[in-house]
Amino acid sequence: MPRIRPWPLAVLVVAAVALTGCAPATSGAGTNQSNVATGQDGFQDVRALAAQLGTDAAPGEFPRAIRNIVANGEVGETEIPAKPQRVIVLDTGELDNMVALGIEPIGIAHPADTGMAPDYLDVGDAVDLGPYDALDLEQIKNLEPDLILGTSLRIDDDGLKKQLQDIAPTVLSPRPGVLWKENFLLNAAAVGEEEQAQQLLDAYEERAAAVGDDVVEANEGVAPTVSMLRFMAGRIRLYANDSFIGTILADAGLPRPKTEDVNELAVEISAEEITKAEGDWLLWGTYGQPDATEQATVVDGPLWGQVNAVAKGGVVREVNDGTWYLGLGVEGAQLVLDDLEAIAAER
Amino acid sequence: MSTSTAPGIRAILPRPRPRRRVVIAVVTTAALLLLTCLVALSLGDRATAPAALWEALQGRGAENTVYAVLEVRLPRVVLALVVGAAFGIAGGLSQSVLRNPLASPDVLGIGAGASTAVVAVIAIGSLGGPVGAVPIPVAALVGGLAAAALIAVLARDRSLRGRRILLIGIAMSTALTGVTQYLLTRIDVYDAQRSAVWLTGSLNARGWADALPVAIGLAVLLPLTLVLAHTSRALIFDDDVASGWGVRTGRMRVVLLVISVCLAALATSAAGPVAFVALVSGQVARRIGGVPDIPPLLAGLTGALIVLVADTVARTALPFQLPVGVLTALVGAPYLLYLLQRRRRTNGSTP
Amino acid sequence: MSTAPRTRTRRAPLTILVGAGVALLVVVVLLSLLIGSRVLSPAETFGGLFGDDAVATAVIWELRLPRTLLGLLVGAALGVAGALAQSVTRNPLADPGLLGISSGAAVAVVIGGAFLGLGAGTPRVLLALLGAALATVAVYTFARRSPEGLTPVNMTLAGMALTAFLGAVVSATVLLSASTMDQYRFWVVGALSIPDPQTLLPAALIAAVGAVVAASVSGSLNALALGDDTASALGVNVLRTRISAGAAVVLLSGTAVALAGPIAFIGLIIPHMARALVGNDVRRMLVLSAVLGPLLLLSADIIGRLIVRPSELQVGVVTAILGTPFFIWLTWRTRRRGDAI
Repeated sequence: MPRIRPWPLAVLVVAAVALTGCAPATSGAGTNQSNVATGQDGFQDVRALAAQLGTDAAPGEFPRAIRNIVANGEVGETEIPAKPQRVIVLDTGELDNMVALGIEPIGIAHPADTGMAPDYLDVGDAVDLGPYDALDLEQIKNLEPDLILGTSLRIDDDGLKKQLQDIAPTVLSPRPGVLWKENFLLNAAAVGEEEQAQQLLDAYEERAAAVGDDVVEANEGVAPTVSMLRFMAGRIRLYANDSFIGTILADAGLPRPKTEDVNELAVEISAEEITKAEGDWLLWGTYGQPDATEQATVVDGPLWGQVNAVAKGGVVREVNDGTWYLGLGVEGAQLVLDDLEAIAAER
Repeated sequence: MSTSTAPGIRAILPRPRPRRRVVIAVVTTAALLLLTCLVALSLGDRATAPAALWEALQGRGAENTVYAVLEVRLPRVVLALVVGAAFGIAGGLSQSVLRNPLASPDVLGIGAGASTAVVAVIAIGSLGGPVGAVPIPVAALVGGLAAAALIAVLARDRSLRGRRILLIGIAMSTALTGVTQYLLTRIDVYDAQRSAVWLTGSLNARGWADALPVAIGLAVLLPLTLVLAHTSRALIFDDDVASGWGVRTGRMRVVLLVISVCLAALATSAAGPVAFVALVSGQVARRIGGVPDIPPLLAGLTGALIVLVADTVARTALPFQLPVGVLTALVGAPYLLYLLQRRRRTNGSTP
Repeated sequence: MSTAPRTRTRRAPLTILVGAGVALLVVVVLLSLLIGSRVLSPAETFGGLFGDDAVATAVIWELRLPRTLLGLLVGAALGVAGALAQSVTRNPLADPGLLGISSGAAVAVVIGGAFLGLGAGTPRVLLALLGAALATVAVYTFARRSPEGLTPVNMTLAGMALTAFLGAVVSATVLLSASTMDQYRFWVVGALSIPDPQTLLPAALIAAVGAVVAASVSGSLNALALGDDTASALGVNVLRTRISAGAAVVLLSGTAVALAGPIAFIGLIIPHMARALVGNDVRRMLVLSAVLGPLLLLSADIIGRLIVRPSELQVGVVTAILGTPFFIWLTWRTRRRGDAI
């Protein structure tokens, strides 16, 4: 290298680094929130966080303040001046919640590779806002909403959160999935339908216990351990307690096998380790295209016969991934209970 | 003609006179750029008429229009301008110094280095711990500079000329892309979608805060580049000739290359590695300026124009938004191939 | 004093080398059967190898063995393709991956899959062959039109530029549809772990054809190494040799891509190793490359399985990361030998 005085260069480089470091932390692609999505460090605090959220107003009283996630990891208050009439939802969980309460959203954002809404939800004339990671703020503003509902996990850029709050009162829960009941109550508080939501949840919980009893009966009076397997692109998961399906199974009183009885979203396994699905009953689903996953290799493969439920003749059934893993709300939960009931009835 | 009491380079080289055709090109491009800005500011979810646009720019008029123009479109247009300018100047500089139209930061793996660093921070950050707190822009800058340093060392080419640097740079780019692709398979599918968009370059959901570091970088480095412009013009000649004029060729080359890498890394940190802008801008600037070297200001304006047009098309032409990098890649890559076979006119003297 | 070429007295006989290579290959195959995402205890391993432990047996013989066999086929195809490419272009940096041929095949498969819905099996192989052929023609054309002509550097640069362009096309395609992205996310980096039984048979057949073509043209390639004019003088049809060799490269690399996605650097490294062991005789190089290729590929695959258990690092990523230093070292070496780099 040609000999040069290092210090002017060093000054240049340091200045460059300092410049970008100066940018507020809200810039860029957003801080990563995967640890909230799949477990590890931030996860246990999420439940505690969710417990703080909600409103202190009397049922149906407006204006009201809702405690929700206003910036990553930060709880704040959102003022809602009047009962919202024009609601925008940014993910499937919120959509499910609104439909369950009989409210038609005016705009719906969704995951990138799905349609506007899953098949089991009827959405009327809502506008398709596109994928939630590519929101068009102009479009949202032009719809003139008076409430925006979403999760901090999906809207993980603090700058974007602020921009949404500038358009309309925005209520964000920490994450979808395991907190679906808390999220339902939070969304209901935002639209002033807390009582209806509580009734729906109570009805669900009653039914869940009843379906659980059906399952136990179908299994000759012994509660079967249930394994929840899911094939995804490049990974295979056994879903554990801190997931949407984990809470439903817990509500039904159905135990989990040891591998899956952990306080995490899921346990990752490989195709060779498929025998770690040790439940008496094995229910499995596939996210996305089956040929993008190892579903065929495993289900048609040599180790399938060694899996506990298969070998001992327990229930082995493919279930609808869209409701069992992506249902994320009370309507989805009820459909899962429908399926469970049907499976029990067939035994 | 060097004297031992030479006060500096400027005293030795003839003061550059602005070349008429270059000046015309600069003015024309700037005017075109302004026009494109106005068009871009009018396009969005609902098109805005010129009169309404003028009002909105002053903060008056319908609330939704003012919001759309000032809060959504204006930051994005400004970001497109600064990112494009940074890429354009970075490309022009490195192509001049390395005397090769293929030697631009995006081809040489600077962008890949920045991207790998960013995805690494996202992936490692997802495991918890302090790494996740590193701001994305800083990661990109560190990655870009590290890649550049590594390439320079591995090329083992004291003159920093020759095509060896090109080969090493592209090989590094391949390896780094491999690492990035691996990291992508390790993270949640939603993150991967977002990362992939980021890795192709996108101006989506970016705001003033993202434009700020790039703007400051340009504010500092562009004047520096212009001051050194006549020196960089000397570099297109053989080293003996330029040294004879007292130009410290080695030192100058390194300084200009560092400026180039910094600008490219800053731009990448704000918008991801928008493909081929750096490669194309300098070449286009050279042709419309009709000169054998690459005028930095013209290259910057050209880059800004390219990114602005590409981004406006990307966000308005289809019902859903495309990342700007996809468009620039689809147009820029054939241009790269064209460049390859349209080789140098005279051996080694055309940047 | 002997008039025999100096190289011959310094190289071991081919049979010994091939024998040693095959022996090493057997060891590597065994390792490939024993190592994987599921950790098997010694007792389980033993039981698995001899059929006593149902689970371990299934894991070893039904999950890992097909993957190992795939590695053998793909490794051999890539090794031979690389040797051919380097020989016919007289370019020590040639490699189907670096020349853009593998990218061309990959792009054809991805586009065919995303827009035409053409999936695994014969369609995939045909798409890969089409892509590989087009890329070969493109690289050759672009490199030839530079003023310096078909120098190693120009060819490599053209190949790299083509790869960059095709990479952009793949990015655009997968971004337009996230499910496409899922489907090809692992394949597109090069992986042996994606079972594709439908594609195996057509691919193996095509590879066999490619091998036959390679064998038939290897003698002429020896003459070609002496220079076009000398070769013509010796009665070799230069154009036909080049085209046949190119066709063999396309057939072999195309099938490798159809089976395992684009894997680079095997075709680059293996011919150098073979040349160091048996000298410049193309026939001997091809034979040894067919043995060394699987050796290297399976070793890379095993490394990929070890470092991030229970998941794995795809073999294409391992070769890219490990192969780049070798490539860089090659550029240093070639410069010192005075070649035009």
